[in-house]
Amino acid sequence: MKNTESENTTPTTSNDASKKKTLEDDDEFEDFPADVWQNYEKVQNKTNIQNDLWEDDWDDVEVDDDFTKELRAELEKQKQSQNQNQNQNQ
Amino acid sequence: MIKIDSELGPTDAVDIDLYFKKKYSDSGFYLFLSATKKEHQCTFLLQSSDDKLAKLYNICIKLHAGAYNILSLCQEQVRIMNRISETETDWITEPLWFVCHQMIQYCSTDTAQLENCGRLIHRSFNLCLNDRNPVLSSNRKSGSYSLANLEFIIYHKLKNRDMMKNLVKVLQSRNMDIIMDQPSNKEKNSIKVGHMVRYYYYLGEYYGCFESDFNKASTFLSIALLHCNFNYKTHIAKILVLLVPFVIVSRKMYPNEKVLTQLLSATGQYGEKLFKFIIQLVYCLKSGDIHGYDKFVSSNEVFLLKNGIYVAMCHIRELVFLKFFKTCTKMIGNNKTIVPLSSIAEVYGNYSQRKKKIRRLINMKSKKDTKIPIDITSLENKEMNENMDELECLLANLINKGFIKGYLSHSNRCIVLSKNDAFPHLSSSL
Repeated sequence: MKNTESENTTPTTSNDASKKKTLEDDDEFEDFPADVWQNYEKVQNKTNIQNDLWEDDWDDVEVDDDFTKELRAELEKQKQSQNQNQNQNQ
Repeated sequence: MIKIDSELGPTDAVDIDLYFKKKYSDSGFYLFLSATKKEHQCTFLLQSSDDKLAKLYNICIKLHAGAYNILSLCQEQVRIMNRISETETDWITEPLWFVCHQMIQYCSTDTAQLENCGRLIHRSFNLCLNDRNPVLSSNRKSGSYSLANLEFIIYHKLKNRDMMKNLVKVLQSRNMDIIMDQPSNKEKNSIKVGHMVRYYYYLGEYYGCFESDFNKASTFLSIALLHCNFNYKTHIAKILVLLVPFVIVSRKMYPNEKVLTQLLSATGQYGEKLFKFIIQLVYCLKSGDIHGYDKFVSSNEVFLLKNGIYVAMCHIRELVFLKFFKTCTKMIGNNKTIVPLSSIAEVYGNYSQRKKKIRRLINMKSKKDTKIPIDITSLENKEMNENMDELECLLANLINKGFIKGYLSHSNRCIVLSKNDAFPHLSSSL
């Protein structure tokens, strides 16, 4: 067993700024601080999350924006050129 | 997670024997176990002649004096605590977690060190899990969740998925991968909720990121979210970055913008980025902007891989395509049940871009050899056929999954949609 201890260890109790890593740098799910549960406000109680968080109308909702406008125009163009082709063939 | 009360002064004395007699722990006991250097603080008294307790006492005093080999002392401490715990009831699990957790804090990223610590914690985990005490209220098993979390932490640091898999297998074999009841005791509860949130987060991450079991992952992660402390936004963000894509894939539902704003308010840069990310994702899903989605995924590749949601995003593409196709059929319209694939293939193949590609190809060829004429129409036809093949493939999969009702006619290059309810409603409640 190794008993050498390197410098890059940080004790839990230290409150220095270096501990405040952003989630981007840190892959881990950080420890909850010691006093976190003293003013415990459950997400469940604080928001109406269970009823309101998830919506399911995405497959029915009609979006009207640049993308759909372009798509409509493109499809329209195609229809016309197909019609033209048919006319020519006749 | 345990708060150490440092109000104890030099005149105070902490009776260690008492904790083992009365079978409880408080801040005095954690101060005793803590490895931080202590000067002019209270004294700790031990009268018991028990070998193991004496050994623990010596280790703790060495740590208090400010030892240079903190990690190896912490490992000794865990080892002796493991032996002590064998004959104690559930009260010991929280102190046991404390010393294990403390050991991790002093462990570097060195693989051998991490593995050593992992073995010690696994021993602690096992002696909790395999407690044969028939009195359930004092059985150490209740502590095994928190120790499993510490194992997860180590395996994450080791980036070792196999070890995680083994741990989950053990948990499965003991039916510990199901939603457990909450403890009734209020004070006990508050500590355990923290372990629980973390435990469900890890299980959700495991099933979603490693096993692609998005349904199971969604269940675990939403329990973690519901019980998380509302004020700890970074944890909420960390849960949501997995939960949102997993729920879209498995339950075909997306998050409400208002609630999302509430959950992610004041999360700083990461929260803002996550918020924008989710909004963009939801937009693609709603509009069926398949080209926008592909661009969105490729520009966020690193973020997706880092968070383990790349595979989920590939599954979501199928749903974005479904919406794209549905929108197209509506636009072609007039309630036609027979939809030719050619026109949709044109828009799906991002025609203008492909044309540019063909032109570039022609330019390249013409520079090399000007004598061979190039048949542009045949090149375009080839492109068109490839597009239609891809389209048929995607549609066949959607029909197979029951997302579209209808059938494909390959010879006519068209899809025949069911007269009623060709696009059934997909969501299933959480």
